[in-house]
Amino acid sequence: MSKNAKIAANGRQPAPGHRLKKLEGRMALLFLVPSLFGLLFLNLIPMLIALYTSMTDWVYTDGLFNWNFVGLENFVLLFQDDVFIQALVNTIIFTVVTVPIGILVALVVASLIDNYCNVKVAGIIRIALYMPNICNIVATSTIWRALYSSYGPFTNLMRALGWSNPPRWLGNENWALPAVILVAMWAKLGYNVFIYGASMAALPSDLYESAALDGANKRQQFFHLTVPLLSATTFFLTITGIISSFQVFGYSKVMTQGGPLNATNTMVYYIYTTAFKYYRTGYGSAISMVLFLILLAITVIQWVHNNKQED
Amino acid sequence: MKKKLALVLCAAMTASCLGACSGGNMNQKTEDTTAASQGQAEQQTTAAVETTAAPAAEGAKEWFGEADGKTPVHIKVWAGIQPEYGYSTIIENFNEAYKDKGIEAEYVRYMNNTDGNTRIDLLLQGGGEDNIDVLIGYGGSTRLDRRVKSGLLQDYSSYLNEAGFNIEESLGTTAATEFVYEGGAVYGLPTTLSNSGWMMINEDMFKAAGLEIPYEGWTYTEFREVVEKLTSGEGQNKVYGICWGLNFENSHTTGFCGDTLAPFQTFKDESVKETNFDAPEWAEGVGLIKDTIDNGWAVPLDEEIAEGADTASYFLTGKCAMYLNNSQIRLAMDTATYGHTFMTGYVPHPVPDRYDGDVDQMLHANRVSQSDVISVAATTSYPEACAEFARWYITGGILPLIKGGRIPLYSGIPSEEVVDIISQLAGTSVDGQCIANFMSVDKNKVVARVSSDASSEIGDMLWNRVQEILSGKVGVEEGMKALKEEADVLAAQYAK
Repeated sequence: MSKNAKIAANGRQPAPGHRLKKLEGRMALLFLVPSLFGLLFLNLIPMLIALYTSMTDWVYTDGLFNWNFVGLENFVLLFQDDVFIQALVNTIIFTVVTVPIGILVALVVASLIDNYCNVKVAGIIRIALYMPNICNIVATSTIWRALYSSYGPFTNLMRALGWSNPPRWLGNENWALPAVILVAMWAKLGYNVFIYGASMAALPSDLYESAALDGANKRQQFFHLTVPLLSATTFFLTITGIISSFQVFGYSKVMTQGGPLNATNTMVYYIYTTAFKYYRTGYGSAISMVLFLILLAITVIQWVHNNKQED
Repeated sequence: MKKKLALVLCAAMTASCLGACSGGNMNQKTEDTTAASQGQAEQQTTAAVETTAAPAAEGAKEWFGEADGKTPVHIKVWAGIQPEYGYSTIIENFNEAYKDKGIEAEYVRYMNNTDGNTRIDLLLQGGGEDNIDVLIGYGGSTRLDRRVKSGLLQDYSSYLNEAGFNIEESLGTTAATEFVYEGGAVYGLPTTLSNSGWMMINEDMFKAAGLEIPYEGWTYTEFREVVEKLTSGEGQNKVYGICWGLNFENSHTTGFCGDTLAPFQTFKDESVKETNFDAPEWAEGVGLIKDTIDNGWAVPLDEEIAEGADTASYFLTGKCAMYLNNSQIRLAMDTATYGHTFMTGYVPHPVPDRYDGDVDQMLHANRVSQSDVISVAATTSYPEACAEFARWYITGGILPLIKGGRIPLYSGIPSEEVVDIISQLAGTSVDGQCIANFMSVDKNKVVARVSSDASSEIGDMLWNRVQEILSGKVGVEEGMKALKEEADVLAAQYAK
């Protein structure tokens, strides 16, 4: 249909504002194309394939489409699989410990930096704390393996603090997971402090001045002003922390290979083992689907919470 | 202007997105971790192995290169050993021997672990720039079977037949039965005689304790007495009688317990529907390990795991008198990198007392196996050149790899020659009599273990139960019974 014919059909010419909006829409789409391309081919399509393969007996060496449909058999087997249950429990413990404690420590550290350090010192401390977060996980895990050694610095520190016979951290079924958790929290601390630091810098100073005039001491200001004002940041760190904790893999892979006795086996590590060591790619996909559903639920909670706050 | 800016931004975003997609540079070869040993190892072997390059085959084709008769083809050979332990010399020798026959070979090392093998599986499917032409794989026929089932390897039997290569004569009857598939297809052939049924001992410590070297094998009772006598000291200065190598490669140590069951170590029979963990040998073997640990004669399980105990960190440093896992001749010979002055001996694993006097069990025949399986990738563009490399490698090209502790399987290489080479390389660091003993094995008695796709997962189940037993959570009988029950369920699932 020609332009004139369009005008004739509508009986009027499109308003200049409408044209601009349309142009903006196209421009926005153009900007979004690379991301949408990535999302489609690197996320959505692989996710759909994983959903399907979770209902097959696929072995990845057989190549795509060489699979047999087995329905929900993999999911039924999953909940009879003791190792999967243990990996799920380990992952939940990992998350429940690392996220709240990590956030609490980060909040306290960020607050101390904010209150007691000048700008230069605060910057140096924040960077120092942030370094582990950008270091290669294999490197940090290897260093911690040495620190945890029977005669390594960490174990000797425990001895110096009065623990006469400390355990072999990574070799002990009861201590391996706490040892891995400690490393993960240490590595994540800098990131959380950084985010809290940025949020604290944006807090309105007049509120604190008013509170001080009203006689509120530092502790009261912290609990009655800082903590409530940072609730959005805390929520953000909680959700992203939970998601990343559920995806933990590197520390278990490098430090303990999921052992001893599966004490540090996590969901993602178990996906890796079943898919690539046991060649049970379909079964591994089923585990990844369970993980996906858990993360989806967390994301929905975040979404609902954000919408409520906006309202 | 805005439009132009938008286009530039959009192009930049697309480029960065595509850049990220191709981020993992698969072209990077694995870095060698033992570079320090290179100089020393090179010096050691010049006289011994560089003169032993296999000649090109008699009767083999004259030209393997491109049709123009001038351009050679380039093949990539992938294996899991550092190049300085033999592969650099092998490739040099091959390129020299085939420079007029139109083949050039290049060596690429991969890590022989789950990550490394996953990469190999993916590359075998894909081909491309990082292609694999010839693959030397590990894990015996289990991993080979999986790759064959997936169509990742090429049958090169017709080329071998044309070249007059007789598998049974060259590699023994076990190789001919285990590695030849239906219709005579050959997807991979073993190239080395595996020494995994033997263990390392510190002969100096044996002599100091007035103990005889058990060249002809020993029973659990004899072994137990020796372990006790070899244990001394306390705390950081403690020398353990044995380090079982549970951390280094648990499948090897746990496998030791069922060694004497020969082909039916894991499964009751060829049907692979039922496991053999109720055989008394299993409980006896696990019981022996537990006994030595509980008595303080062996490195405790948690110490092995926490300290990452291996040959280099425990045996070669003198923290233990014996080491059971994967007797690595390569490390014992390399006194420069792994500084030690004592002589290492290799003796067979101990056996339950009832096998006392049974030479096959006592010495080695039931525990010697074949390894380092050479295959041709299904995606290679040069199947004949690859098959010729495989034939050349098996029939003598492999010799420089003795430096890496690999003992050739090919019957055309006299055992004395191998012993001589090792003696020259090792000097006084390895007991030559042990190597001569090992080489006296009848290659037709090499044992092929019955395995299935479930083997890897069952191996992990075994490892978990053994850990439970060794840490005292369950008794030996109870633990092995529970293992049998759960492993049977899995075996039946796979057998379906």
